[in-house]
Amino acid sequence: MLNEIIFYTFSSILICAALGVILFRNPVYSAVSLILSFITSAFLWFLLESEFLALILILVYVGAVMVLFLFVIMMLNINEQKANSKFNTIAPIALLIGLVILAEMITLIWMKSTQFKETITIIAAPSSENNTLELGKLLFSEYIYPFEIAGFILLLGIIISISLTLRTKKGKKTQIISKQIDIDPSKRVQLVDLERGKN
Amino acid sequence: MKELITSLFSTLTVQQVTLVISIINIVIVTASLILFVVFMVYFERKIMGYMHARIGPNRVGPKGIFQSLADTIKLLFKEIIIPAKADRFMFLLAPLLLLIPAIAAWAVVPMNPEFLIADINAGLLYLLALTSFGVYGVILAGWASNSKYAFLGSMRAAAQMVAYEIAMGFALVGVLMAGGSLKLGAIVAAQSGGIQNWFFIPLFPLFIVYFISGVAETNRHPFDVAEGEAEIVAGFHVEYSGAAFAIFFLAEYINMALISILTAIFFLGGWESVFSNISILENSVFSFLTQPSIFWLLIKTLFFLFVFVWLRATFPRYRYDQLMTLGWKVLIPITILWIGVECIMFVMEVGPWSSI
Repeated sequence: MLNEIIFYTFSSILICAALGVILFRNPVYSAVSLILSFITSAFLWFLLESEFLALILILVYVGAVMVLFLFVIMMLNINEQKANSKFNTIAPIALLIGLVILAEMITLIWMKSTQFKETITIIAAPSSENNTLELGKLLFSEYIYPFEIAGFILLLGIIISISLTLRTKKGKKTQIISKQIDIDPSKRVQLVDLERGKN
Repeated sequence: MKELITSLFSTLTVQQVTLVISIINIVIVTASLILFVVFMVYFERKIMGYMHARIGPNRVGPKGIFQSLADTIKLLFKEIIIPAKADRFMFLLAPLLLLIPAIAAWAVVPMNPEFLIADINAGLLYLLALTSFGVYGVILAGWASNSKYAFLGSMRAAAQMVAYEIAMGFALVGVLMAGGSLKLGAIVAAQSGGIQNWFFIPLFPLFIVYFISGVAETNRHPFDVAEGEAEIVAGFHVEYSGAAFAIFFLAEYINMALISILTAIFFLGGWESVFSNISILENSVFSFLTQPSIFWLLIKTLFFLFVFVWLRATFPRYRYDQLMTLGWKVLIPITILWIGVECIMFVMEVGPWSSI
């Protein structure tokens, strides 16, 4: 009973937040409702007792990705009016794509439901099991190759994005602190004897 | 406590009893946190005073002990001024977004083996997730104020927090490997049996990195470029006044306490005694000193809080680029290197975990 109440509350919040992402005119509000929808979907995962996935969702998307999103949105300072006019031109295409995705999902769900007649109930993992531990064991034994390959692809992504954006300015004047500290005072100042009145 | 409640309300089911106990625990922790903040401010001002060869607050109450209470009353009764061009909703939401994760993180912090609000399996991940959430309060506060200074402060805070979170996460990976669990209670249990088993010895670089990134995460000196009084007035909370400002203050101090208690739990054996496993003491009248208790945890926490104040009183503020260099080019490589060293120690079976 309690689980149902929590589930329906959070899923309705999730749907509202997802609608907010596309309906808010202010891009910052859209980003914030996207954050809200990530958090509520994490709560839904908590209900299934898969706390690892829920926390990773918050940690990665809310804690890192969305911070940078907000950062960029705030820096760009998109003009609301301008964004709005663009929305109207893109809207038909977006609507078309949305309809295609919706149709695909409906056919998929319909096909599945005809294949398996019995109602699918989602069963939570028994609470004694530590699913973080189980997931770790599985990732590092059975799925070690896909896991490592994914890791390498991400590393490659980091290196490529750094090399694309890294620009060192020529003739840049920066302090090299170690050089400043290591300087020998005797080499800095040259003492010259001058005879009075001659030079 | 469980027995007491079941005897008082015999009609309640098991689920309801757990709910009542959780609510009581939450009230205890929240109330003590708020009381803590009041006296922490006094403690900080007094210590800073003595470090600067001043007296510090000494007017309200004996030795000025009620100074913070007076300040709290003043802040609560002040008008909350909302700038005309500010985004009202976000402006008022932002302080709460900072305070809520700061308090909610305490749900998984164990005070002793028995007292714990929520015993979830991924306690450490929960902490990381919540501390990373706090940055939104800062960013949105800066944006909603519609002020250049506030905006600059929030931009700085966003970049800084993302950078130091990575170092913090990597430092915790080392703790997780050594403790063999994501539960905080299990991490403390792995450090039992004397001071030589505490993780700060084999994980010393991670201990230092964790504390430094903790200071940076809470935006405290010498990493408080988000506030930077000399450069950008007061950073992200420049437009806030009254109770809204007080909430920022509260969240900052609660986060400070959180970082301190977590450093004590992860690296200094939590509630384990400094003198445990010393046979001379165990057989004497001082045997209570060798027992694990919450007082050890509080002493260690207070020590780290003192370090926070100490840093603030003695260090100048970092320049922004130096701060980023420290985060990305010094702390993160150190943690990655030390995790490698730890792996080698595991294979060679050196260290406190060799007996496991």
